[in-house]
Amino acid sequence: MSFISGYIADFSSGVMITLELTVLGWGGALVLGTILTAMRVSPIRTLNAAAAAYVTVFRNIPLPVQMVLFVFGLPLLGIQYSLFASAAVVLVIYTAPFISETLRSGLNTISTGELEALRALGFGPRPAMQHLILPQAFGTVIQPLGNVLITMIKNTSVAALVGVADLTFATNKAAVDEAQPFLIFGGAAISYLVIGLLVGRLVSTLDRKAAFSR
Amino acid sequence: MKTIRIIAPLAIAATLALGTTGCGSSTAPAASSPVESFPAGTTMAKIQQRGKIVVGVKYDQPMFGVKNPVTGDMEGLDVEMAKLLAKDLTGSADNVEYVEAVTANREAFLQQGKVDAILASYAVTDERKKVVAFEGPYLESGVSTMIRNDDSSISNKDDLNGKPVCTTTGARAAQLLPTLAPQAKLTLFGTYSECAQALKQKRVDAVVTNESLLLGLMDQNKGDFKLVGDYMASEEYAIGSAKDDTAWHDYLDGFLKKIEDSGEWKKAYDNTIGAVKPSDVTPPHITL
Repeated sequence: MSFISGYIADFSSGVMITLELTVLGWGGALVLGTILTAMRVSPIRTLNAAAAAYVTVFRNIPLPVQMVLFVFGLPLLGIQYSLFASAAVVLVIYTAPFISETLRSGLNTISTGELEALRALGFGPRPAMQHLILPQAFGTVIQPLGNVLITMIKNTSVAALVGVADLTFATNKAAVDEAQPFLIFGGAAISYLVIGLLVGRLVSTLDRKAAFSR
Repeated sequence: MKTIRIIAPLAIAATLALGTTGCGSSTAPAASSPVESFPAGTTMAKIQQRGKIVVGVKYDQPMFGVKNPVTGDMEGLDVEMAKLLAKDLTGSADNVEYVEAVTANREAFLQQGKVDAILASYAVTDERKKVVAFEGPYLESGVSTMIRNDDSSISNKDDLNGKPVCTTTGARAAQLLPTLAPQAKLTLFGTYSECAQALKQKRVDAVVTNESLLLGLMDQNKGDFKLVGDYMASEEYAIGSAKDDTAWHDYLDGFLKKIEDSGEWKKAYDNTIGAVKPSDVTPPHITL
């Protein structure tokens, strides 16, 4: 077990990178996903079609494929980001459709009567969305969004494929250098489990609060 | 047209005939002699009973083990070694079952008995010696540096400081670089083809790993890259086998000695690595 000590630094920076990717990826995906949802339900047909097309395309291309395409394909067109930025952007692009679809199902739970009532009370489409409809929609789908989040945390491991030194990457490196894959990957599994459990608890707490206001 | 149609196959047949007689005369008489028999229960006897040897090889490592995308055949020095091993044990070089071994699963394959031996550009390290047995080495090579052909800013390892440098996870270069060029920014990918791509796209300025692997990459991307500087360190490539199987270990060492003495090793080398780096190489001493 003594060899582990040599990798503590690698592991902790790996965990940090995984968390950074999670925060950036989730923040970006939440924004993009919300915009996509708004487009999906907007009465303007082009916006609707564009959002639907986006969801269809990016939801159906496997994440590793998008990752490699982004990192090695885009430079052919003269566009090149750092590996970490590429991984974060791809996570946003890939996760947004799932958030969008989850959120849309939340929106569908709000009755059209409520919308009509808001319109009758003189709310414009934007304030109605911002202050009344979206908060309710988010409130209903906190648990399913939590699932998307946990899936995304595990998806950050795909960044290791393109050389981003996240937790999986550090694990793989230590496992190969030390020729002890079972032990080291076991440690990584526990790390992911802990992160997942903490996030799960956070989501449950948030859900209870939202349920109260709902 | 008709004459060409007849002549072409004839010419090919003639070449083949000449080629095979040429080979036949140079191989040791051992090739035609019946195979040695071993006590029951040993790995050698099990392989003979099974009729084929199962080896773990790389599928994406030019010069060592690569699956030819056009023909689907396995090629490389590791593959040649596997064929010679199959010939020695079963009488025919065709009795090989290839299993794709990636860097991370080689030890597990041996520990779980999924393969009889690993021939997958397996570099000898102290950590690996703790979990598997090595035979050989069958190749000595050095860690070298490859850069873009039009780049003149790097000529030795000190020039790597401050530059992005690529190698793969598990390569010895990844462990060596932090001490040899402490300021080099290390980028690690899973495969060398990704490193080559990154070098081409100027994401990195150098690829550092075993020279034979770099020669393979240069062969795949003709005219794009060049090698610079001296060896940073030497590396030994050996056959990996299950630990504690001493009979199998001793047999493999004996086998390597035999093919080195008979000239079959030299032929395998000349057909693979020697084809891109012609040199009068002498087989390494078997020390493991």
